[in-house]
Amino acid sequence: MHLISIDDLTVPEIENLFKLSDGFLEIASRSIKKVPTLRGRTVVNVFLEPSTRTQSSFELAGKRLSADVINIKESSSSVAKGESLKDTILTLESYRPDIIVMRHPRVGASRMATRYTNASVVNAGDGMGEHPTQCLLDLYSLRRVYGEPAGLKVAIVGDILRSRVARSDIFGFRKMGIDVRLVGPPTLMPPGIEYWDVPVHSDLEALEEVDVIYLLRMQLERAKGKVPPVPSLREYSRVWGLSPYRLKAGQRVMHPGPINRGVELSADLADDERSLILHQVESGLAVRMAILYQCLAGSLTEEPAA
Amino acid sequence: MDTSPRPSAARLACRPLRSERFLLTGVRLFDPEHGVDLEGDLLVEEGKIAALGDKVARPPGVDVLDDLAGCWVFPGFVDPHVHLRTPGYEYKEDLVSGSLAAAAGGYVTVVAMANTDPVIDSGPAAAWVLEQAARDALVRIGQVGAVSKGLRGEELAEMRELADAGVVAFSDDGRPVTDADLLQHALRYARGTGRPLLLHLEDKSLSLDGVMHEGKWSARLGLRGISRACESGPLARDLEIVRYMAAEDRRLTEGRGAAGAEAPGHVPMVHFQHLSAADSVALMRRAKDEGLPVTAEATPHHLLLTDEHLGSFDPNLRVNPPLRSAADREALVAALADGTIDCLGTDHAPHAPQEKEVPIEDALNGTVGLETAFAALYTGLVLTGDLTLARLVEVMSGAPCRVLGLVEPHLTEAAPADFCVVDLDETWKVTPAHLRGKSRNSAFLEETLTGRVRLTVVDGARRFARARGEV
Repeated sequence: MHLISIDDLTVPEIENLFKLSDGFLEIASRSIKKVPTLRGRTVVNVFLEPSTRTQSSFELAGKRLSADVINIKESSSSVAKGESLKDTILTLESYRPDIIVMRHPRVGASRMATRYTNASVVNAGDGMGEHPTQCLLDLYSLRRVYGEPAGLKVAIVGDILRSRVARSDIFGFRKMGIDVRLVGPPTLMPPGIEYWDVPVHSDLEALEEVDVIYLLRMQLERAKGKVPPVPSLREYSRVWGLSPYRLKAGQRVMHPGPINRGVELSADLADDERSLILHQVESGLAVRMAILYQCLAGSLTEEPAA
Repeated sequence: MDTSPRPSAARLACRPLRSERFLLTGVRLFDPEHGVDLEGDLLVEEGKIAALGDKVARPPGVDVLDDLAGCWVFPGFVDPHVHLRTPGYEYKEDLVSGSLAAAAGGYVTVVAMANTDPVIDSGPAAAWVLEQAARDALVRIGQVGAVSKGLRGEELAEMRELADAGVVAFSDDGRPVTDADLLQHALRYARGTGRPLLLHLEDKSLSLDGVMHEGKWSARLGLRGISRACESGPLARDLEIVRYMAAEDRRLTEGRGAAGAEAPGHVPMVHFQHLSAADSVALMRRAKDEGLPVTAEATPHHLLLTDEHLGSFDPNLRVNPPLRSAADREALVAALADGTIDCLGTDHAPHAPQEKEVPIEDALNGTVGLETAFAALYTGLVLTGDLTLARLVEVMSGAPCRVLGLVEPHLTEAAPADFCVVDLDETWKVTPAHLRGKSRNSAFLEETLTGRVRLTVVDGARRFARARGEV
C-alpha cells in the first residue's frame, strides 16, 4: 500500500487506522515503548526538505515498531551533489526496503517515487501538494478530543495557497463529515478552489460559529513570483493573526507546526491550554505507527501487539 | 534538394532519393480539398503521381504494393510547428531522427522552430540547417527564422537575410514577442517578404513558473497555475496591433497597382501558435469575422487531453501552454471544425529522459507529437464524430500550407508524389518503440489509438514503410 494523497484512503480505512492508533497510543504510555511488530523490516526516511516533527515521529514510529530505520537527508546525501530523485530511489531500492517515507520540496515527488521502487511509499509532504499523514493525525486528534469528528465545524485559516497540509485537510476532513471553511486573505486562497465547493471567507468573523480554528504557517520560503501575496506580515498578523481574546468559549486551536509566534498566532495563544498543537504531535506518533503497520499489514502474520 | 524557384522564396530541403516506380492497388484515394475520393490504384513514376483511378494499367516490371490494399491514401501531412533541436540540442533530436519521426507520422514537410543553440537568427545559420537537411532529412524541412536576435525580444533579427536564405516564416517560438514596439517593427520590416509571423502567446509576468492550467485541478494538486489570461491577454493586444497595421497596410497600398514599383508590399500574415484557451478562441473568432489577416493552430494534445490528467503527475503532460479544462478543449475542437482555427501543429518538442524523469515541477515543457498526431486525432475526434475525416486531412495538409504560403500536396495526376498511406483499421497501443525520434516524451504513451501510417512518400520515393502488424 502506498499513501500519497488523502484521496487514496476510504472512510473505513481511515477508521481502521484510528483503531490501530488507539493501541499504539497506549503503548506510548508504557515504560517500555517498543513492540516487535516490524522486526526485520526496513524503513527508509528520505527527507529532502527540512522537518522536525514529521521526520522525528516517523523515525520514532519505526523504531518503536522494531523496524530498521535509516534516515536520508538532503544536506548529507548525494542529493547535495546533484543526484536525481530517480537515482536516489533506485539506489535505495537496491537495499529492498519495505517502506520509503518521503518528504520532498516538489509536488508529486512521492507519486513519482512509486515508479522506481517496490516498497510502500508514504508521502510525508511533497512541496505544495499534500501531507496526508498530517491530515490523519489531525483527524485523530479531533477524534480524541471530540469523539466522532463528523458534524464538527472547522475553519482553516491563513496561507491555504502554499499549504500542503490544507490540501490534505480540506479533502480529508470533508471525507469524514467535517464542515470545512477557509478563512484568509483572498490572495492566499488557491485560484480554482471555488470548483470544490469549499466556502471561502476573508474575515475572521467567519470564525464565530466554528468549533476548531486550524491555523496555518505563513510559508514565506515558498514565495513565488514578484508580488508578495500580502503587503506585510505586520498587516497580516493584525488582520488575520489569532490571539486568545479572539477565541469564543469552547473553541480550540490547531496548527501543524512549526509555528511563527506573533504572525499567525500570538505567543500566548500558542501556549494557551485551548491550543492542541502538542496534542497533535502526540497523535502523530501513534498515527504514524499505525500507518507503517498498515503499509505492511498484508504481509505480516502477527497481529499488532496492541 | 532545393525545390524553390527563386532565391528569396521559402526553401524546403530533404535528402534526394532516386525516384521510384511503384503502383498502389485497391486503395482509397482521399483528397477532399481537391475533389478526390475514390477506390482504385495510384502509380508513382519519376517523382510524380503518374496515374490514378479505378484501375490503372500496370506498366511492365512495376513494383506492385498490393499489401496496402484497403488502406487510405491522403495528401502528405505538413506540420508548421516542430522542434528538431538542431543545432545545439542533438541529444534530444536531430534532422535524421526528427524527419524519421515525421515520416512515421505521414508528414512530408515539417517546419522547424528557431530556438536552437545558436538561435537561427541569421542567414548563414538558416542556410546551414537547410544544407544539413538536404543531406540528412527523410522529409522536407522548412526552417523558421527568429524575429529577434537571440530570441531576446530586444532587436530585430536580420530578417531580410533570413528570407533570402529561404526561411519559411519568422518566429521567436518558445518565447513570446512581449515588446509591442518590437512586434510593430517586425511587422513593418517584414513587409513584402511574404513570410508570416508565427507568435507564441504568453504573458510571462503572469505565467511565471506555472506548471499547469489554473483551475479546479491546480487548486487540488498544489501545482502553480497558468491562467487563460496568460494567453488571451497577449492575443488581445496582438490583435489590436494587427488591426492597426492592417489599416496602415491599406493606406500604403491603396491606389497603387499590385506590381507598382514603389508598393511596399503587404504586412505579413500573423499566425497564432498552439491556442489552448476558450477565451482565445472567442477573440480569434471575432478577429476573423472582422477580416483581420490572422490564422491560428492547435495541437493534438490540447485538442485531446485536459488538466484533469495531471493528477498522474506525468511529466510528459507538462506542456506550454498547459493542457486546459474540458470546456477549453471543447471550444478548441469546435473552432477547428468551423475554421476559426485553421490548422494543426504538433509542437513536437523532444526532451531527453533526464529532463522528463523528474518531479513535474522540474520537468521541461513539451511532448513529442509527430508519430501519433494523425492516429490520436482520428481516434479522439473523427471516430467520436466531433470532426470529419475530410476536415482532419485538410487541417493536416492543405491548411498549414496556406498558412505558410507553401505548395499544397495534391492527389492528382502529374502532381508531385507527396502522400501517405494509412491503415484506418489498425489499432495500436503507443509504446516507446513506436516513437521513431530520439526522444520518448509522448503525452500519448499507453494510449490505444486507431489508424496507423503504413507508407510515406516524398518526391516519389518511399521514406517510411511498415508492413502490416510491424511495430
